[in-house]
Amino acid sequence: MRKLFPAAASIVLLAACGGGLSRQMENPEDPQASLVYGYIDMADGPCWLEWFNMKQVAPKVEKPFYHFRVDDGVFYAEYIPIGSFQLNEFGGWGTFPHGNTMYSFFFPKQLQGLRIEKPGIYYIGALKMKDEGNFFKSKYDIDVAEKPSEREVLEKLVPHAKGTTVEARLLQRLGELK
Amino acid sequence: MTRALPLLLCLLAACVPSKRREVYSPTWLNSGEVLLLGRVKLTPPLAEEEQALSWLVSDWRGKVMVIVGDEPTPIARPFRTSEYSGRIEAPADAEYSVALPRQPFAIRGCVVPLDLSGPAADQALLPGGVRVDIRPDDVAVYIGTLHYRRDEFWNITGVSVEDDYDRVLAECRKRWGEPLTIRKALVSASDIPIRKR
Repeated sequence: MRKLFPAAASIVLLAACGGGLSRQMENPEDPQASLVYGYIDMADGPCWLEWFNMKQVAPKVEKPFYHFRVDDGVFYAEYIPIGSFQLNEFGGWGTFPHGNTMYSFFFPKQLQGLRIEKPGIYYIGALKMKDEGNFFKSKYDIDVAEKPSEREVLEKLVPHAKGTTVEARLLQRLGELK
Repeated sequence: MTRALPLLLCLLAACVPSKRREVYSPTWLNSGEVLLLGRVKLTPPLAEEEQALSWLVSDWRGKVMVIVGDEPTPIARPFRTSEYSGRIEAPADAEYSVALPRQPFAIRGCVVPLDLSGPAADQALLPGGVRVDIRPDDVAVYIGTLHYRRDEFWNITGVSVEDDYDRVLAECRKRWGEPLTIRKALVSASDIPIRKR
């Protein structure tokens, strides 16, 4: 039991590193806030998705980075204000055989971003990481994926919105997708 | 280590591909060269916080790199560092004045270095693909202001070529102190494709 405790503690600490955000959504403080969500399939990547963030590019603000909640490839944030946002970065900690390495991937800045002009729910889409490297050199790319569908992503989100004002909007969107 | 440092710095500096020589008068030209005058303008202008540059390329801040070649092959991703070779370093919204071989060439496009601070370089690619006619008797040629309009995601929403020939001619004659002729050879904006994304 004594030997188990340090191992269990380190697992808990590592789990807490995953962006520092819980999976449970909260009632947004800003009535103009939107829910933004999407999915990245990291099966071919060197790590699992543990963080994702966007950068606000318009209007200019002092703190432009928005960190997302993450659950099993789904990323979501219910507190995104009105503005224009670039997809900025995602990543995670390496898994076997990639070792204890932090992997961060940055989106090009010259890329179609997200323009939020009125509060709502916005689906970025499903993306898939591609391994294009070889034995000598690791190289990864990301592309649009057909699966999972928006509906499948939403179904993963609904339990995390339980009891919040976001829940009704998610259920309404699910109804529209039927 | 202290002795090796200058050598190390020289080797690192050699990693940055060479650029076109800046010349401020036709008297600076070598045999077989022409003086090329023009400008690149961005609307909205390039903001300081849009660029993250390492010390090695810190003097690229605020500049747009005009990529020239023999053929108007458009620049594309992935943009390799070696493709910066032979670039015209155009200070954003100010005239550049460089020496080029006296022969027709093409502007393949322009590049704005956005992040050269880490292993993964990131840049905005601006469309080009226009030929510039240089004649055997040319000494100085003015090709106009290439004006790119962009949105907040670096999508190019419009390109035009503006004619500031009279102002540039007056400034050059004042600077050069002699009535040299600059031939006007504006590039054609209609040849520049705008790719909607």
